[in-house]
Amino acid sequence: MDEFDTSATNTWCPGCGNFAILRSFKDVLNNLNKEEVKKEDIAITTGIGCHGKIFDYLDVSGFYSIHGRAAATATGIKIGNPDLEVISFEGDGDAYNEGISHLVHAARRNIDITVLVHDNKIYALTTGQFTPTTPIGYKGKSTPKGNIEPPLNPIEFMIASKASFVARGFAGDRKHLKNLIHKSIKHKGFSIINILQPTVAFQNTWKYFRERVYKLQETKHDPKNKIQAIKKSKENEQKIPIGIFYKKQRKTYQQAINEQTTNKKQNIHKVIENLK
Amino acid sequence: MKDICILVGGKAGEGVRASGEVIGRALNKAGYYVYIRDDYPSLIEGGHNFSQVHASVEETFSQRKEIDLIGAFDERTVFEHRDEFKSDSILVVNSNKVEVDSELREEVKDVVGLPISDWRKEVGGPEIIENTGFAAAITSLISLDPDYLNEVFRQEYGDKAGINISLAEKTIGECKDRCKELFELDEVDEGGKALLSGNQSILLGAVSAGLDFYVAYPMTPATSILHFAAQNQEELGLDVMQPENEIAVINIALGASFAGKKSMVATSGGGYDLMQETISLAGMSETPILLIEAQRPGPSTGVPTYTSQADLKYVLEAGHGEFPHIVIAPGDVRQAFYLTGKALNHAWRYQTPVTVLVDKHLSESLKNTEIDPDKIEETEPKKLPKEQNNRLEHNKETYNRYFLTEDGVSPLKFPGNDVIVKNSSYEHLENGLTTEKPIEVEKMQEKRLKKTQKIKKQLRNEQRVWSKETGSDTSVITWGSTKGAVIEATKEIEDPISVIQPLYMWPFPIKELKNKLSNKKTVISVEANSTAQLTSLIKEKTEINIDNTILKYNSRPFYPKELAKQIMEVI
Ligand SMILES: Cc1ncc(C[n+]2csc(CCOP(=O)(O)OP(=O)(O)O)c2C)c(N)n1
Ligand code: SF4
Repeated sequence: MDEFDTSATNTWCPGCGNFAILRSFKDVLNNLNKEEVKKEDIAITTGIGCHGKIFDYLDVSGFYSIHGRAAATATGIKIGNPDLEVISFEGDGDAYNEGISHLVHAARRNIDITVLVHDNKIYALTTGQFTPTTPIGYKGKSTPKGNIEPPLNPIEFMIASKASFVARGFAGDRKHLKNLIHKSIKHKGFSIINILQPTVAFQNTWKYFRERVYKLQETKHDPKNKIQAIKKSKENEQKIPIGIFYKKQRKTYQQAINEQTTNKKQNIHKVIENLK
Repeated sequence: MKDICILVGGKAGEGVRASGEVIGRALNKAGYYVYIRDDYPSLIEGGHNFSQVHASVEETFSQRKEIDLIGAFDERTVFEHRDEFKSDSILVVNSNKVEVDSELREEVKDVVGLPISDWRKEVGGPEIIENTGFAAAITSLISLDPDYLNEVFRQEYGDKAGINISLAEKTIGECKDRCKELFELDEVDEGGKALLSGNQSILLGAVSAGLDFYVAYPMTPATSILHFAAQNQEELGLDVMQPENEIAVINIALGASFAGKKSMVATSGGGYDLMQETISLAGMSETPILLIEAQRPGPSTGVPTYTSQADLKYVLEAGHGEFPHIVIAPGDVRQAFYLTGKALNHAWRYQTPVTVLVDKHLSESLKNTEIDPDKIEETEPKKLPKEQNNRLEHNKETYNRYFLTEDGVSPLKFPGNDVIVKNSSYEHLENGLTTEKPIEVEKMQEKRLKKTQKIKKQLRNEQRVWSKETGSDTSVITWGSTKGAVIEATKEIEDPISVIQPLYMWPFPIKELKNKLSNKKTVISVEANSTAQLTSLIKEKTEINIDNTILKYNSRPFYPKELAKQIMEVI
């Protein structure tokens, strides 16, 4: 039991990749604590799905949102109180299907939130149907003859959406993941980590990913190079890179607003006077 | 004369609306009561737009169809409104663009042809300012002091007012000589009222109650709230945002409410449809949120720039599941101001969604009225008892977002203030963590029920019904913007009949309506929909049958004279 635990009983399947995400996130919270980001200054949002249960397992403020909308909720929280560190936990169904519009536009406007996608490549909580990241051929209850829709490449997609921090993590490498999450929270602007999260119940991918992942930081990859980042994002068959694909510092939504509205001072009587 | 009805008409893009508004603003400055209705199809250039300005020495709540003074920018205006002219009407046309046949010259008192385009070229302005020429001609034909007009130009156009003033001077100088007879409005004292639209009034009411954040996606007839908010953002102390769609709108607003910012969203029926799931989320998570639904004729895209009152029953049932949802329907700009202020306060006092239901006719029509922001008090959300708060701040106790209280309303705190706040869409325990245990589920449903009971009880103290009682045993019952035409219609009827307007649709003023309706022999309901939704709501809630209904569903508002005739037929 540590200070971020709650009284809720964990109901994830033993062996689920979500445990590693939870553990890594708590480690990051501990680190942040040392850097004087108080636990009370964190706010999380979650979508609906297995991943969403992380809401119950973390003793931090948060809004258990509805399916697909966690990024929009997070956007509102950040605007409501820019001093909060806002982190949104979403499933791949949540983020790339039901709520994909919010992701694109949160990235584009560079709102300073962090999105962590638990990418298990299926809708887990509704028992294993295909999502936008499911490989062709996957046999689930809604695709008994195999999935026929080519998957989306979240990394490429998020870079194209102008996200200013795009990374991939793997639940099987907690140390690396923890580091990534910490960096993504520290990043000023919109950051997203697509986390490869094996689900043991539907398609156990632990072995598959372990055999393929390698770290971008151990190559000559330059995260400032967008073209290179997109090229790297297309590598996802034999070898799967993890780490920061793309990172660029640019004006956040808040900064842009502050530049525009420098003179916010209420004078409703004057507004009414102008209508007389 | 006591009142005058003016119509200016032309193509979209010619500044018809602005022309009507300038005339109305000048009349407002002179102290007259003013009502302005704009009629425009869903297009950007061409078509036929018109603006109806009704000015009076007495308070007026509606536009009228019978026109005294017409400003026709184009021939179509003459043609479209011919049956609204009277034998004593005066018609002003731009003689550079419009020819008037001799038959029409016989039908009206006078046709004043003015070469407005020539004059405009002389003063050297762009074509659009010809609308100013019309405003000048019209105000001079009712003998209004040009100072009022110039003041409006300076106010509306700032540095660019000069060119408008020049054209106005030229027009006024020439205009009177070319006219057989002028209109003389009875004198009134100079006014100090604001002339504003329902939408402006809604935003100002909300700001008076402490609104921090306005979020919206454009949709007629709610769009002008967004424009007004953005234009006055700094002076209203607001954050304003236009996100990717209505689902984002309400979820962003809800996130901000959770963080402690008073948030409001506005849309029309289609956008409100998209918000349903999150209205339910607001109910479950007990997050305060104020919604404005400005109706237009549906179903679906319908008739986008016109008016309707067909979403009443739908809005009352918004969102799945059972939770309290307050619905308020103001009927004029004054009510819109004060009731929206109340609505925001209700949302924060009871931590639940509140909808203000209006329609195009109220949202976009302008009326002058007195509004006072200081009369709207801001409600603070329920606080923790001091002692408990102390314990919390010293980490000796944890905050329970859904703490069970006698009235179902929990003390409200926000993240970032040394507390952990857990809001949830799932059924939850007092601390906000998920539960599926039957006994806990039941407890929380009962908490929301208690809140429902509390709201029903407390809001009995509010004025939930507006009425004009005359002692007559005949009464008209109506709601929303239709109230305006009803009041004006009753002025046309010799018998002084009463008018009743429920303001709260939930909690419904059952007792008040029973009281007001029980002693009436004849009750007539007037609504702008085809299924008499208020009438059936009254039947459902009070068991009172109203047999006489006057319904209009051609997307245009009621007009007083035609409505008076229909009422007379019933009586
Ligand atoms: C509007 C809506 N549609 C459907 C659902 C049902 N639903 C619950 S979870 C879920 C999918 C979750 O998949 P994902 O986001 O990938 O999360 P995971 O369970 O895999 O962690 C769905 C479709 C819902 N809750 N709300
Ligand atoms: S179903 Fe899959 S994602 Fe859900 S808890 Fe089990 S292993 Fe994890």
